[in-house]
Parts: sequence; structure tokens; C-alpha cells
Amino acid sequence: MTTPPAGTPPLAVEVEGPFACFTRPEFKTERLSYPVMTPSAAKGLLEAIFWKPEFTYRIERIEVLKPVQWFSVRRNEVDQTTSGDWVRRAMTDPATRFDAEANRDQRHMKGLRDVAYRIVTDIRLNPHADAHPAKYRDQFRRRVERGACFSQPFLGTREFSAAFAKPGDRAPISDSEDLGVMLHSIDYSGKRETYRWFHASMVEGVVHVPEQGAELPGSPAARTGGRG
Amino acid sequence: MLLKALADHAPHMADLPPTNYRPRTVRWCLTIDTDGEPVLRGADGRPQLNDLADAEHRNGIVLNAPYVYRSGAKPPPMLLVDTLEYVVAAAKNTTPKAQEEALRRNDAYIDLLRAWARDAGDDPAARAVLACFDQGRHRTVALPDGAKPSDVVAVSVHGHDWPHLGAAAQEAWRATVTARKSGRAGSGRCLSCGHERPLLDSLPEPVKAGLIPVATGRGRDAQLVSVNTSAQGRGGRIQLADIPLCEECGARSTAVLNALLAERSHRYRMPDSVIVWWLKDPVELPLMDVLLNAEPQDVAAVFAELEKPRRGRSAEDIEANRFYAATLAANQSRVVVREWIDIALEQALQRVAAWFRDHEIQPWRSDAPRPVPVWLMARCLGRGQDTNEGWRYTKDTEPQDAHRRLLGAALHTTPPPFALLTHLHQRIGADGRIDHARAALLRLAYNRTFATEHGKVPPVLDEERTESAYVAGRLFAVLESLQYRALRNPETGEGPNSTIADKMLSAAKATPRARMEPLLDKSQAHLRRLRTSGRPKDKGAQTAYFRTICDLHDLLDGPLPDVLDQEGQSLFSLGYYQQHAHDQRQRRAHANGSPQEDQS
Repeated sequence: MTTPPAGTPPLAVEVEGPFACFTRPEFKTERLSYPVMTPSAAKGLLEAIFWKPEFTYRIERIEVLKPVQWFSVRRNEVDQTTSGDWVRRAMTDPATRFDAEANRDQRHMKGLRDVAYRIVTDIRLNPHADAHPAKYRDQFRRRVERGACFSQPFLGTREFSAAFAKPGDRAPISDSEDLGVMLHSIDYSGKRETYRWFHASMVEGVVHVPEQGAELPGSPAARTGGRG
Repeated sequence: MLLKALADHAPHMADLPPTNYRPRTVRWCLTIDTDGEPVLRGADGRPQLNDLADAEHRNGIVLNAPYVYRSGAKPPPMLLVDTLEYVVAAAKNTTPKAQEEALRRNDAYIDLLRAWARDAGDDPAARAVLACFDQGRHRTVALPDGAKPSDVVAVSVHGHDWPHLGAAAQEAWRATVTARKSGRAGSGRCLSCGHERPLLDSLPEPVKAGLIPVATGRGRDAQLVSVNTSAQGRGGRIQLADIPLCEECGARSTAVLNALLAERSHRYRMPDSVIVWWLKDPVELPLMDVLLNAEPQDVAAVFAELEKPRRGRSAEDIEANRFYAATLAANQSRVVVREWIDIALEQALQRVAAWFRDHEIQPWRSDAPRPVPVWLMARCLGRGQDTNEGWRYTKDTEPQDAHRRLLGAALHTTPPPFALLTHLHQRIGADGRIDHARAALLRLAYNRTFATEHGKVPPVLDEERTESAYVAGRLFAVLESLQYRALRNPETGEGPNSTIADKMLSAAKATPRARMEPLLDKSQAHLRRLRTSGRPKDKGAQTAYFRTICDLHDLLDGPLPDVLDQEGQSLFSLGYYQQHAHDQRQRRAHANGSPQEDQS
């Protein structure tokens, strides 16, 4: 990965929405959100706007532009995820059905409402990239200006859509808070995903994100899993 | 955050049980001597159990005992203190399957004892216990009448302390729990404390049943962190596979939470949830008691703490102490965190002080503004009735979430939810009654929801205020007072059974013009009645009433308002209440012989 030369102006985008939920990992069943956006959510949001295999986003800071407000909701969900095996059975047997009533799970969510953030980021070129990074930065800015996106950006969970615009001059809120350990990023490069963490704190409405998060110790096979 | 704050609080909890222990109610005790022979024997010579229940402890005594959450088809035993099924192989019923399971459980229990005895070395208590169980003497114990297989039984050795509280037992139990709860996770960096430690597969201890209120009233053990189905975990993985929590944080956080929830001074139970609070560095300060009970000395203590000179203390010192509060509910066997507050103590004090500044109001029977406890403020949203001891609100008729919402408003310095204000207006209309608690809640809602910084309603009557809704409320109070005075029995001093407020307060605060103009017409008859009664005091009162009505009319720019919304109705009700409180104060001053100028 290539680091940009010093003095390069960072990219920024402002996002907002009526609801958001950046779930804390320890309270993921009865969901409880962090009070601010996480860098991994910010990265996902940026990739919904503009993604290319030639670069990755490096989130530098997240500025909180509206006071933190909360909402609660309890919803009916299901307790199963779809497995490849189930899909194969459903394809071969038309009588196979998923009965949501039989797999009901009622879950609570403590989320955020009326949120707005300014995400300040930069790009890191991947080894095979052969263009100047300014090209991708300009592409990103043009897409933000005209509101183009590959998929609808969202704020933590897919049901909470986000609107985005080029950065304005709104000042961050004045609150400061220790947010505890926060997910920094997910590494999908190995056979199975690996999580990286950092100790997050909001200082006068700004969460600074370190370049690297701490990986979960232990072998990746022991403590990670998922898509593999 | 929550888990770390709880675990960090463990050193401040004086009587916290050892790791992976919890207070359990123990009904029976198997007492043995140092040779492992049961001490207590019945008339038939068979060993017996000591009954630990007495008149004061009807279900037995509470002891710190080994405990870990267990489930599955073959739940494993606890060390030394467990149910009769595990300790003496008492089957649940007479079926072969139950008998077989009881024997299996007893065997597992004895295996655990052997592991402990190995670690305990030449501890005489351990040798005695092992001798008793190895030789099968426990099987000869006669079960007392009424004993259930689920009753908890402890083992004691005559002349020794409880063996399960010994250092060797604590260490052996800790190792057992580690093996059961950390088998697959290995070790790694804890998400809560950030240290490299053995990680948990699942939390060893749940929050005790009953500590978190549930709507059905039948609470059960609830896990603070729980991932039990594929949809709850990332990529379908369950338990703590993607939530690295170390043993220490996992065990301590729940133990501290259980201990805090059991303390009256650290929790407030509400119909649908419980709020638990603590300080990072505990200090004697009635921070939450003052909200809940509003005792004058507590209010004074909070304000005194806030006004303490802080010279010589750095900003870091002032910020160092934190106030934590978590509002918890339960969904089946999972804990729901409904609210988490982590603020500097200084900030918490400011919020509590702001709460009192925004709601305190002068009551009818006192000259100084007084605060209202949160429980009463919530309760006044329910129904009430006149009793021999005065007006009493009926418990559990208030909205279920009223306590939680009001405490949330206090701790966040936010307005109470609009729904509560609407509900309050509906109750005021139905009861025809605004008392001190309701007036305080109205003032809080108005000042935080509608008022600008300069438009806040003060705690005592504001005679200069010209909003038509406020003046209309004052006028309605004066008309009611006039009616009562004009129609009262001169002999007994008692007025009519019901006043205009009883009959039409609800309608008057919603549509003042339509309801109050006829009342103003009728007030002429009341004034005439006072004027012609022949009593000098009545004549003086008539003059005073007439002047007050004229003064209030002068404050109005135009006619009385046609329709009032929630904001207007709040002002009307506040004007009504404060006018009455003001009049009562004037009467008290007059009765004391020291006519007092209005202080507002």
C-alpha cells in the first residue's frame, strides 16, 4: 500500500440520516449503539459511494456534527441465518419454506437518531494501482458532488439509509467522551476475517482514528471466522 | 464502557463474593466430623441433615457459594454446595430415568470433590469430606420431610470453617469454571479491559432472577452478554466467539452488577426496568437519592457540593470521578441495556441541580418553592382518589415508562417526553385537580419544552406575565376562589361541594373563551352577594376580588384565547395553580398579622 505524500488535502464527506445504529460488539443481541459512528461503518459508507480495487480508504477522523440523541425500538426478527445448505435444499425441493413465525426472535435496539457526521479520509493505493492517487480523489469528489453511489449508503445497519453531501463548515459538537474499545477495521484478506480494534475517545466532537488497530491475539483460525 | 466500569468497581464493593461465587439461600447442611462420619443422626441411627431454616430465615441462610450458569442435558455440578440431587443423589421422582440421572449428577459431584481434595493437599476438612463421600456415607442420609431435590445443601466439617469458602476451594472452583467457560476461546486481548488474558466462551454468571423487573412479574436469570442463535452472532457464530471477554471482566462485571442491584442505595426499580448507578471513586453524596426522594437535606448537600470552591484542584481531578448509571430491562433471559450514562461527577451534579431549578414550585401550604421526588412526579400521572388522609394516587395507574422517562430527563437535562405532558393534561382534566406534584411536572415540561431562556415560568407567581393563557389560568383561579367565598356557609365556613374547577377545568384550559366568558358574567352575582351580605369582611373581599379581576383583564391584550394547545394549556394550568398558591400565601400573611407584599 502506498502512503500519500505529505500535504495532500484529505477527502471529506458529510453524511446524515434520521436513524443510525453502530452496534457495540458486546451488546449485539440486544443492540446498543456506540454514541458515534465507527470507522468500519464509515469505510463501508464510503465504499458504497465509490469503490475501486486499486485503493482502500484510511479513515482519519470522524467529526460529530449534531448532538447525540437516542431512540429505542423493539422489533420482531428471526433467529436463523440463511445457510448455503438450506438454499440448496430449497432449490431442489419447492415445498421447503422458511417459517418466520416458528423462528421468531424479538430484539431490542438502542440506536441514534438525527445524526450527522463529517468523515475525513484519505486513500491508500494498492500495489497493483498504476494511476496517480489524485485521479481517485477527484473521482470521489465528483461522485459526492453529483450524489452518485454504487449502493445506498447506510448508517451502521442497512435499514438506516444515509444522505451524503460535500463537506460544509458546520462545527463539531463540544462533547467529549471515552468510548472504550471500538472496531477499527475488518481484514478480509485471509481465509477468514480478522478484526482490528482501537481505544476510541471523542474529544470535542472529533474521533481520531489511528492508522492501525490492534489485531485480536491468538491465531486467526482460533479467534476469527465467518465468510471463509 | 458498561462492562469495564462494572469490573473496575469490584475493589470498592466491600462484601463482594469471591470470583464465581454468589450469595445463595442454603436450606440444609450435611455436617461431618474429621473422620467423615455424619454428626447428626436420627432415632433410627441414620445420618440426618441440619435444617438451616428458622423463624427469621424461613428458606434457610444466605451463604456465598460456588455458582456458575449451567444448562444442557447434563448440567455439571457446583463445588461442595449444590442441590440435594447432586449432593445425596435425591432423585426428582421415582422413575428409573430420574434415579439414573441423580446418580450421574452425584458421581460428577464427587469427581469435583476429588479434584478439590487433590489441590487442597493435607487440608483436614478436605480429607474428611472426601472420606465421607468416597465411602458412600452420603447415600445413607435420611431425607427430611418436605425436602425437595432442588433444595440447596452445604457440607460442613465439625470444628472447621465452611470448606467451600477455603482458599483451596476457591482456587479449585475458579479452575473448574475456567475449564468450563473458556475451553474453546483460548487467551487473547479482552475487549473490555484490553489485557491479554484467558477469554470466555460464555459469561459464567447471569444477573439473578428478580433483580430486573419484567412485565410478567416472573423474572428469570438473565445474561448480560448473550449470543445464542445464529442470527445474533456475526457470520452465524454463537456465544462469545467474536466478543473477546476475559474471565476477570466477565465474572467481575456480573458479580458487581448483582451486588449493586441488590443494594437499595444503588438501584431504583421501575415497572418496566431498573436503574443502577455508582461512582467511579465512591464518595458520600446522595446524588440519586435526591432525585428519588427530594429530601431537603439531600438537596442542600448536592447544591453545597456543587458550590464548593474548587481552588487548588486541577481540572483533571474534578473530571476524574465519574458517575455511571445503567437502565436495564430483560427480554426473556437476556439483559437489555436501555440507557447508559457515563459523565463526570461535576456534570451529574449540574444536571441534578438543573432538574430542581426547572421544576421546583411554591406549594399552596408553604411560602418557599419545594421540589418533588421523581416517584411522586411519575405517580401523579396516574389516577387518584380522595381518602381520609387526603388525596392519594393509585399505584400502577401511571404509564409504565413514566419513572424511566422522568429519570432520563433528569440525568440528560432533556425535556420530559411530549406523550407524558399530553397524559398529564388528560389526567388533570379527568380529575379536575392540579396539585403540587402536577404543577411541578407542568413547570418542568413547559420550561424545558416550550420556554426560551427569558420566558421560563418562575417557581412563584409571575404577576407581570402577560401571555393570555397564563392570565386566563390566573383569572379562572380567581373566579373559583370568588365562587367559593360567595357561596360558603358563614356559620361553618364551608363552601360548595364542587366548584367551577371541579366541573369545567378541563374544558376551560382547552377553550378558555367559550367557558370563561359565561363564568365572568356569573361572577357579578357572586360579587353582589358579597357586597350585600352585610358583613364588613365580605365587603372588603368583594373589593379585592373586583380589583384583581380588573387587573387581570388589564394584562390581556385582547379577548381570552379561543383554543389552547399543549403549550397554552400548560401555561393556563400553571397560572391557575400559582394564583391559588399566591392567594394562600397572602391569606397566611394576613392571618399572621403581618400583611406582606407580594414577593414574586
